[in-house]
Amino acid sequence: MDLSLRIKGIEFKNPIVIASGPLGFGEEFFKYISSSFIGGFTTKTITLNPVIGNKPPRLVYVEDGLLNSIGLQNPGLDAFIINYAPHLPESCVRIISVGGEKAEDFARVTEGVDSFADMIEINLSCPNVGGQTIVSDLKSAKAVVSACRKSTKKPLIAKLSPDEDPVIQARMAVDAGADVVNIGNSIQGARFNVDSGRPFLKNVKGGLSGPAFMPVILLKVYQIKDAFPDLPVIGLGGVRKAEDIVEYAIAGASLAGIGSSAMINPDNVRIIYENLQKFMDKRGFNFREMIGIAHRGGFV
Amino acid sequence: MKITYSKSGSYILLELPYKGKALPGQFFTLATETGPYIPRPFSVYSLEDGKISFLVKAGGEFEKFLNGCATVEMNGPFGNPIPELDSPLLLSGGCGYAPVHFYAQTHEFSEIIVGANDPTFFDLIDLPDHSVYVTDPTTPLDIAKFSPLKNILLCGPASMIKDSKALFADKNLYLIMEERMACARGMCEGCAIMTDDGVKFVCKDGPVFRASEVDLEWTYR
Repeated sequence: MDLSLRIKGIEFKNPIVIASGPLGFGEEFFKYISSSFIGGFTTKTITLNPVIGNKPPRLVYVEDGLLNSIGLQNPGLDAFIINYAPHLPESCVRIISVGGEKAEDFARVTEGVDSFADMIEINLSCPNVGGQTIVSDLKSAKAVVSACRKSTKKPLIAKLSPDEDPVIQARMAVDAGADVVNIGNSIQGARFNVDSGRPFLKNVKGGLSGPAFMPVILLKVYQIKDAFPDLPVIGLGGVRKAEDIVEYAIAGASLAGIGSSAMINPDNVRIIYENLQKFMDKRGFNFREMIGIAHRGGFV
Repeated sequence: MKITYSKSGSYILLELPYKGKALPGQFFTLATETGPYIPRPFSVYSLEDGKISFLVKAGGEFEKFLNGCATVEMNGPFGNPIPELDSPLLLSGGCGYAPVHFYAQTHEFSEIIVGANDPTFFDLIDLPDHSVYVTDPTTPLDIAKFSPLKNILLCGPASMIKDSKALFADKNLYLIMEERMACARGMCEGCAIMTDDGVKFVCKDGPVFRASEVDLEWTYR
């Protein structure tokens, strides 16, 4: 059966999208796996100027998940364009994630990466820089999305936060010109050391990812699809097997992100892809027919 | 698979069948069929006769999964080997003995001083002839500070690493660094340390760094 789908004029050969962050710019990742198994690859977030990132510890191990505090480390726009952008994989959809503090920064980065991207993802929801996520202030977030919209004709993905109301965020993104929403970034969390009595992370909070919080994201995908039936949604959080992607599609996601599972072992992506193909063949329908089926009474 | 505990139960020697290659300083990520979700990095302690061994501190999450598991899934080797040093002094604290031991098995060295907070650790491990081993409150640094040797290789807890840099400021001190990591391949940027050349990653650029190039104030609290 067919796994491909078209989103805002962009052809994805399958619904697997590598999430922004844990796989960098792919320079190490694609030594271990072919991009032929992947629908889309999202770069880590690019900012106008280089960012060193947070001091260690940057990771806290969590049962069935991971708490991270990387802090958007990246080489900045100029170095990205010279050293990384020309080498992004061409056999899958290239999604470049853009970040910054102000709307003007986002706009400049969007302009800079435009020619290297098939789609651009606006990171409105990093939990590890500054005090709050950008999208916690809807007015600022709307200004960012609007500025990016003016800077490119490429499809725009708004990356939302699981810490805020998904429908309100999605409405803001659509009103400001986003074509797709990604729900979402890692959810804010903290762990404390029982020996020292202090938080593990210097910033106290980090972003929780992994299977532990997949049900949280599934609900938010469902809620967004319920409110915006025609809005393409990327569901991101906790996918580690083909059935997880199926579950995201049932809830309403057109595409499913993979982050930590690919990071643990890049070959997991191939296994997920092959098992997804087998699942669809066994069920006897195309992937796109399954998107949002929970909103249509399920498999009847 | 063979799991051997120190008499006190605080350290584990984990032995697994392995036909591949690995060099001192390199590490593998380990997980069992039930977890942990993020495989944990362990330096190679020994590789001989088709068996590879790792030192594991008891009481951690990995031990919970290890007990009762049928298989351990290994990925690696990752990281760069320890460079060959001229007649080095080898120092370790706790499980930091693993890469130091593997180096001592395969390279020439002058002296080795091993520390642990549990005396039964020394019955669990293999110690080369003429080793010095110390337990609390004496530390390997208490002995090593009198050594005239110029090249020093050290692996141990953060406090030992910090103290050693100040103590051996006029020597060629090489640190085998450890940081929490998730991918072990230089992708996730979790195991960051600061160096004279900017942020580096323990998994991809290390784990061995010259102490003189590492900014330990940035790297540790």
